[in-house]
Amino acid sequence: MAEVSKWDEMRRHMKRSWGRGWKMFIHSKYGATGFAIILLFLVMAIFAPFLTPYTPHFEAPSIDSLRPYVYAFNSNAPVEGITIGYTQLVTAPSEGGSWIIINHGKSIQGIFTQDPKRVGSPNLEPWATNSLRFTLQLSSIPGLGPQETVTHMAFLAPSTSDLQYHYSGPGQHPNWDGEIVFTTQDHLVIYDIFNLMPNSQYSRMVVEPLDFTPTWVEVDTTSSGNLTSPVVYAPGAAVFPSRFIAVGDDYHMNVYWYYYTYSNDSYMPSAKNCLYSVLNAVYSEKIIEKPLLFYNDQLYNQNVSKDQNVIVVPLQTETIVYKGFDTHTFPLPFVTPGMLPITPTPHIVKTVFDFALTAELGYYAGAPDVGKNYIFLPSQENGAAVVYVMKPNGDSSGHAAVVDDWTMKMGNGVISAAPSVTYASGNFTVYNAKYVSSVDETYIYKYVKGASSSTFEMEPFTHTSTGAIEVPHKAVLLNNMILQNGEMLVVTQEKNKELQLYVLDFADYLRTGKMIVSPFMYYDNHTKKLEPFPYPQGGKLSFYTYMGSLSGTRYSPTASFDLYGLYYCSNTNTIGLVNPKGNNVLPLPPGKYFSGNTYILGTDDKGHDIWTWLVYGSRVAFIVGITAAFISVMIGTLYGVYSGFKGGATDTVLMRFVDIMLTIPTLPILLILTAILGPSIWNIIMVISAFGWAGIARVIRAQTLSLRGRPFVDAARVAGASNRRIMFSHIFPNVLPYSFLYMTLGVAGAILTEAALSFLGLGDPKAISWGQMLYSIQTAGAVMYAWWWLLPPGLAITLISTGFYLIGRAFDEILNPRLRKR
Amino acid sequence: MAGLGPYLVKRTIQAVITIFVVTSLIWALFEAMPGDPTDQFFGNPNYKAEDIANMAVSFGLADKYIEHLTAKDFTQVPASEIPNANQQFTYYYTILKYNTNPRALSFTMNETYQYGNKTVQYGVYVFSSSEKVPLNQIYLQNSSTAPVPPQYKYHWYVYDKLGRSIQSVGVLPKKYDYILIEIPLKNVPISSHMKIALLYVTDKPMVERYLYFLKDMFTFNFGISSIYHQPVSNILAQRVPRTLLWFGLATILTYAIGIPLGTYIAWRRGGAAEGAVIGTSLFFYNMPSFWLALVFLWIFSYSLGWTPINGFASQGYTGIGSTCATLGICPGNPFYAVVDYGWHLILPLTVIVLLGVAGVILLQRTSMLETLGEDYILTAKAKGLPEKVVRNKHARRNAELPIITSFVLALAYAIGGAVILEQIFSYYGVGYTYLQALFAQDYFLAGATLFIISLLVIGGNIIADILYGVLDPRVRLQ
Repeated sequence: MAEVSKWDEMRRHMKRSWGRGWKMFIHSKYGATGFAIILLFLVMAIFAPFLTPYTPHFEAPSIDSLRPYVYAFNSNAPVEGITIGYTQLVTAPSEGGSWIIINHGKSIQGIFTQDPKRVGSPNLEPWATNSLRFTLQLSSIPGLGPQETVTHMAFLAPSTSDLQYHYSGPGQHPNWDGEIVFTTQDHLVIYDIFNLMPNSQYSRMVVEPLDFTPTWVEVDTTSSGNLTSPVVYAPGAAVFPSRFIAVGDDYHMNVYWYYYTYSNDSYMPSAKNCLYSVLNAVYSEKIIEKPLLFYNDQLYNQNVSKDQNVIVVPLQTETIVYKGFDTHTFPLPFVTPGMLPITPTPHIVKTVFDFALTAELGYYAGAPDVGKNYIFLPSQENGAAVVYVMKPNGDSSGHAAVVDDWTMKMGNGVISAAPSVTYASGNFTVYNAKYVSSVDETYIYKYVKGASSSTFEMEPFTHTSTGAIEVPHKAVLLNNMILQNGEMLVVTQEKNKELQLYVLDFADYLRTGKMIVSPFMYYDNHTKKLEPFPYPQGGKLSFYTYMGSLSGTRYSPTASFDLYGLYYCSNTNTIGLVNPKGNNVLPLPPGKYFSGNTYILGTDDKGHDIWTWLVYGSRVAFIVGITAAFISVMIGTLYGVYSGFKGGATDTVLMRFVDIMLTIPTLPILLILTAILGPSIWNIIMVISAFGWAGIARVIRAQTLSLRGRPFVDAARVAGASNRRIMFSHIFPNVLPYSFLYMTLGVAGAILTEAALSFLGLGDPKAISWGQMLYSIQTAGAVMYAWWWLLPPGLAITLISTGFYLIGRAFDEILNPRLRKR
Repeated sequence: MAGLGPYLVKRTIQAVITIFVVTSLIWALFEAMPGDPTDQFFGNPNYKAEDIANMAVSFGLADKYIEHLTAKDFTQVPASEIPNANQQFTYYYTILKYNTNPRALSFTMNETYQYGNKTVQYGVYVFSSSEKVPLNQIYLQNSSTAPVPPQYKYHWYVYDKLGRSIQSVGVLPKKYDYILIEIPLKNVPISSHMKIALLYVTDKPMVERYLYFLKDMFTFNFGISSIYHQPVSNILAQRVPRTLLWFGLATILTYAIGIPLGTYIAWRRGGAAEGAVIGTSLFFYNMPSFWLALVFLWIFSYSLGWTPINGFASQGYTGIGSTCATLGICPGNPFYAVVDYGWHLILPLTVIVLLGVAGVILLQRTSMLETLGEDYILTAKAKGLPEKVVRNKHARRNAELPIITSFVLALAYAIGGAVILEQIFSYYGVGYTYLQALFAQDYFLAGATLFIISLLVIGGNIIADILYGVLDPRVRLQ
């Protein structure tokens, strides 16, 4: 007779009982239910990637989680134009804000706006929270004819260092500072808004007659001054308080130098004496875009090349650049009351470039590195879109020069919007919008020039075939991009239609590798829904501009990342503020979101899809539950069989040890053990099994005791079987059903313990487990409202443990017939 | 029939052994924790290194020795011999040799001295090694972040804060400890007034540490908590009763509800009530307690506002969310204390009772079913005893035995589970304290709390064992 190995024996034993056991099992109410539940979770664990729309590392794009707000009001009088008065340059951010200045034709209205978030409720319109407002009637200005109306406006903003240096004494107010510069049919008017402050006794304005009807007015751009280098005229750091103003029509340009300075200086000359004409130009060609007056805060720095300041006049076939406006440095203080301390004596150098601009030019005005405030000139070369880069320092002869190596060429099309330029520690990033009329699409290219590189290199957006972000229709404005904010608003226009706003979220692109180009949506506080911009619905967007931060200033955008845009709808006469960044509302409740994603169970605070995590979490539950239970059952079975079989003193000692293990408070000890071993799934499994075997050992020992006295054991012994053989071949297979029973019960316990450890923050932080989900909801403080996040993991834990427990109960019934239904 | 006496003695001996084993386990666990209970005190300006060393000594962790070093113990070493030394400075060094590894080494010295008209500030560096290393192989690292060239295996540590243990600069003192003094002037003699009080603490041998630990635990000499800065025993004396109140009440309620229900459904086997009760019980039985707690908090505290969000009592506080503000029963009311504690206990109690009842019902039912299958029940029924008598006298009494065992285990699990639930409800009991101490690495407090938790659980076990012995004489015979 062939020798029957113990495994054959065991197999036959198992096979014999298997069929009968399975039948009983599946007929048990418990068994069937438990089996169904476990099967369900098993399917989830195995087919997780097919059951989930996302990966566990997926994070909801910010378009889903951000709630951009819009604040708007309707203007009663017709609106002819809007400009922004950047003021409030002192350091107190809580008072920061800007004027919104509205041209009503016969009057000018100004409303001071502050960061609506600081003021409190986003329901409140920002202007409703501030009493700072004015109305300037044109009739109150002497020297203007009764028929004249305001045609164009600009705002002469005081510069930071200037104000920080000089705000003192009576007659000063940080909010009421700056000049409205506007044109009428026949005049240029410079009007100090301090005149308009309630109870102000101040009256300072210039009414300058013009010999043409102006069609544009411009005040120079400047950046915040942080002058650490000494300047000529002042012992400390200060900027000479003057600005250039240009006014013109299609063929004329008059440039003035205006000394605006501190209002309460007793040496102050009259306003009229502060305005100096420095250039009058007449062109034979038409001016096609508003000229740019570019001045830099390093203007007066004598230690470096001073000549960085330019006026760029775009004509029909050529572009003219003037330089040499910064030769007016004279010592302060004033020597003669009422007289200007200096006479500006520009030595103008004119450069003519033989290309025409196709859009407004771009520049960066904040680079602290002298000579790096480049000017970006969009043009066309043989039908291809190009952007030339001009160094404002110019060449040795004082002429402005384009750096040939830096030219960016983008192929067929035309640059339709001013390049958007950002700069950080020597590195330039430029976004160019190229419009291709044949497909009515705009392509936004990203170019980067490192501090040491010699060219602007295109950095392709890899998810598109062209390497550029594609935006429908013609882009007319690239909103300044603030790196910290990571977003850019693109204003586009379909032919002869209203403007449309698109939002590009670069932070999201960096995270997901995909840029979602979508029309801007805002969050309506009343309907609690995302609505298509603009507000009100049906409004025709006819004006949009970048407004900057309203808690600090335009000049220090880092003061707050809440950056605003200002818009106007012509058909509804609505003026409003746009806050594209809005509020982050993670975790997201279940629903379909704007990106097209549906989160059936919502997301957590990091934007992870709860359903995905729930499904993947079953893997950890199975791994931890089954492994830990298996190990502890194996330990317990071997221990119990050995103890029961040996009997005597060994048994007593071993069982007393089991008693001790059973009385030990397990959880506190598991806590400290996992703290020592470090958070990892395998450590948790080890720790759980190390403390879970004692109960099993006791039961198995009792079974072994009863088996030990059975005739078949005696028979085996008589046949000469060794102790080991009896234990493994005769007793072990017979106690195995009990081991299996306790294993199924143990799985439930292990899953619960893992969840508890994870919940206390001792779990594997990299593992996707249900306990971890509950841990993060508590740390995120979302328990009080995020039911979609709170309920699923707990229910899953409950269900899977119940499933295993029910299977155990069914086994119990099979093994203990008395439990069966009578 | 065996008397109760020997049984009690046997059980008590066993309990004592258990306590002893558990305490040893606690000792082993804390011994395995990185660092040492006294480590947490080093960053605290209120404690001098010497005090901390004394603390370690008083808890039997270490032995303390004090030595004095003077100028004559130091030898001058040419700057050229020390890699990366400043050639314009003067260097003195000494090597201390210990036969056992010191666990902490701290010294206090007069920091400056007048040399002519100059005030000289010493720079101090330390180095530790288990074998002797020539000075020219030890790189002088000027600051803790300065890179050390790869060819140097050893480097000096900047010893910038005097009066602290060497552990604080990243080296555990070893057999050889080098001290290097840097005088930022050329050719200056070391001050003859310089005095270094060197305190070194060496670890006690493990056996001694263990015995000390046992002694401390059994005499309730738990040390000082590094987060509360008061004796651990005071903290625990305040917190143990809170946990006992909560879990004592919860356990009583659980059994008061669970036993009759379990009996009922076992008796009425197959009824609709059975299905409903079993289904609900199974659901709650396998539910994570912390999750149920969170769900209840969400529903009853945050959404409905019926119960307090956290805390074990308002204790006279009358602001938002307090008992006074919410229920209108304020300090001064004769029932204030009862209402205050009761209101804060409702939710924690409900959670435990709900979860506990499920287990009790299931167990009582199983146990009843087993008893009901016995022949004597059939006999009792056959002889025509009223159903109530058979159920309550014959069946239920015998079915109670496993329930009592479960009572013990329930108690053990409940107090273990308190760790989580107290955390969620911010109920400042033993479990909360334990977690807090563990996360803040307050080892004195954590160790003592674990010890107390174990004592409570083992104590519960003894009581249950005794009860079991009284109720079931068979047990005593085993």
